[in-house]
Amino acid sequence: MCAMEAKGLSAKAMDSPFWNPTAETMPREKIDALHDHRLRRVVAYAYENSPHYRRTFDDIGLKPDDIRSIEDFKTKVPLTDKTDFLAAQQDDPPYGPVRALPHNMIVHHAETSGTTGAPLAIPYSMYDTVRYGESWCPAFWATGIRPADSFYFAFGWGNFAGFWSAYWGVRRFGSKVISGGGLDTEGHIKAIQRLRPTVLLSTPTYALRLAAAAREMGVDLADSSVRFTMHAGEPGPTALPMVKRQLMEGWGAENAGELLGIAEIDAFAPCNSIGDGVHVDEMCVFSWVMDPETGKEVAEGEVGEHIVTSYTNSAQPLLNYRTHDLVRPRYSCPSGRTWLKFEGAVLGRTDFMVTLRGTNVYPTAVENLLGEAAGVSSNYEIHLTRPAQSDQMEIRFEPDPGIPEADWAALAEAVAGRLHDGLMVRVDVTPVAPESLPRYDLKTKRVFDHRPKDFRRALDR
Amino acid sequence: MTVEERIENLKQARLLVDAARHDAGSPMIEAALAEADMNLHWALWNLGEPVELRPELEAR
Repeated sequence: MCAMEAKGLSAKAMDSPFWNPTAETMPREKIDALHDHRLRRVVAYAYENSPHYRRTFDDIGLKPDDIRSIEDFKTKVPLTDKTDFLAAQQDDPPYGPVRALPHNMIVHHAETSGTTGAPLAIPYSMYDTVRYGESWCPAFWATGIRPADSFYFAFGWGNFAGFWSAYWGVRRFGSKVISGGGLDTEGHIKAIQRLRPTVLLSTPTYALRLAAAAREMGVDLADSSVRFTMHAGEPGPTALPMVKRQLMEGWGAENAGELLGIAEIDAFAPCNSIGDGVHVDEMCVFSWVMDPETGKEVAEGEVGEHIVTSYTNSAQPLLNYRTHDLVRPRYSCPSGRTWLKFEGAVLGRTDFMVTLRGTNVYPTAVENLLGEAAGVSSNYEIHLTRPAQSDQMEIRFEPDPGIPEADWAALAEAVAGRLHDGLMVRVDVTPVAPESLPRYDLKTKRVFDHRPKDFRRALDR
Repeated sequence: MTVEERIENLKQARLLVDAARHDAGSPMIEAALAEADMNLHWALWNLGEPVELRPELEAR
């Protein structure tokens, strides 16, 4: 039996440029008509089944029948935030009053990573896990991965929703799952050599760390069986083109793909086939982009905060949820996908947005410039401070190991010049010794905000 | 086959699954067919059919 038949896909399906061509190329009018119907249903569902939403809506006199259009939904349904749900869960663990299904319909418990504070508990029904997993598949397909491929999961198997959703996704896709659970970096490298997967799944920084560690072991992963790398959890190959080049060179990969997800929402935004952005999976979520200062929707092409509503998680509905991610929306794309596109994926966080001498600077813009600077390794940190009532940014970076310490100052000056040319503002640049910055297996912490809390829009404010 | 024809076939398939599932009295058969119905609902959802959020919310 050939591989195609074994996976149950016809030759016609295998030739499709999209995992779900009907949905991924659906005309905008049809997508909007579906949102109009589905948003009304999700509002009614939340009101009827979740004590949290019933109380919230009753408090402001809002009834599900008041939502008669997409515009009504955006403007009348209150914005929600992770901090609200965390507080509710802490009062009534594990899920609090947001839960909309009985406990006997919950088949899986997961949590957020806890990167921005205490982890949020996430309940899933069986259907939720199927839909959440499906969300990965358009990204796999757009990257060039096919069901005959085999995935190596270079991470542990704790309660983090991202791991499990990726697992559900690969199961749904029909590919082989190879778990790297319980292994350290050296163990992963040996397992990849022994088990010969064709896809590496990890955070982008951990993929680069694996490649560097392998070189120290005398192993060149560019010669390994891996043909594709797939990433989530932090800005990756779509947001940072230099990281894409480093990943493809380090792993000898044909392509490096990315998916933008939020653990408590969905793996909702797959990369496209041309690698210039991610698209919101509008079968799974409804998204709009808001000016965080005014609360109004931004125009196409303007940067704002992504506000999302999930159709996927019926066990814990999240409506008009503030992601704190800054994105630039587009409604057309040469890739042919009609789903709302975030050009360059996530540009930064509302809580980390910094204004330097009147210029808004997004951390991903800094990261892209650092990635293109010769002599700068992929290990760096961005520190935000506010001396003398104005925001300041300092970049601490590890020079490439081969560069002698005597040349670090000149390198830092060159990097500062490059950043100035790209950002139109000067930032402080400090070289630090190679291997001195911390390494992370999961999400890499790049941005350290030391500003007084009153001057940032942080989640823990 | 047009999308509309495929949607109609899926609706028919759900009716057949529902009939086979009804009163089966076998945990295995009922669980398998519940999953089959879930996948058919999901296929309809992804073809743009305005179905309910979850199969059990539908009046059938």
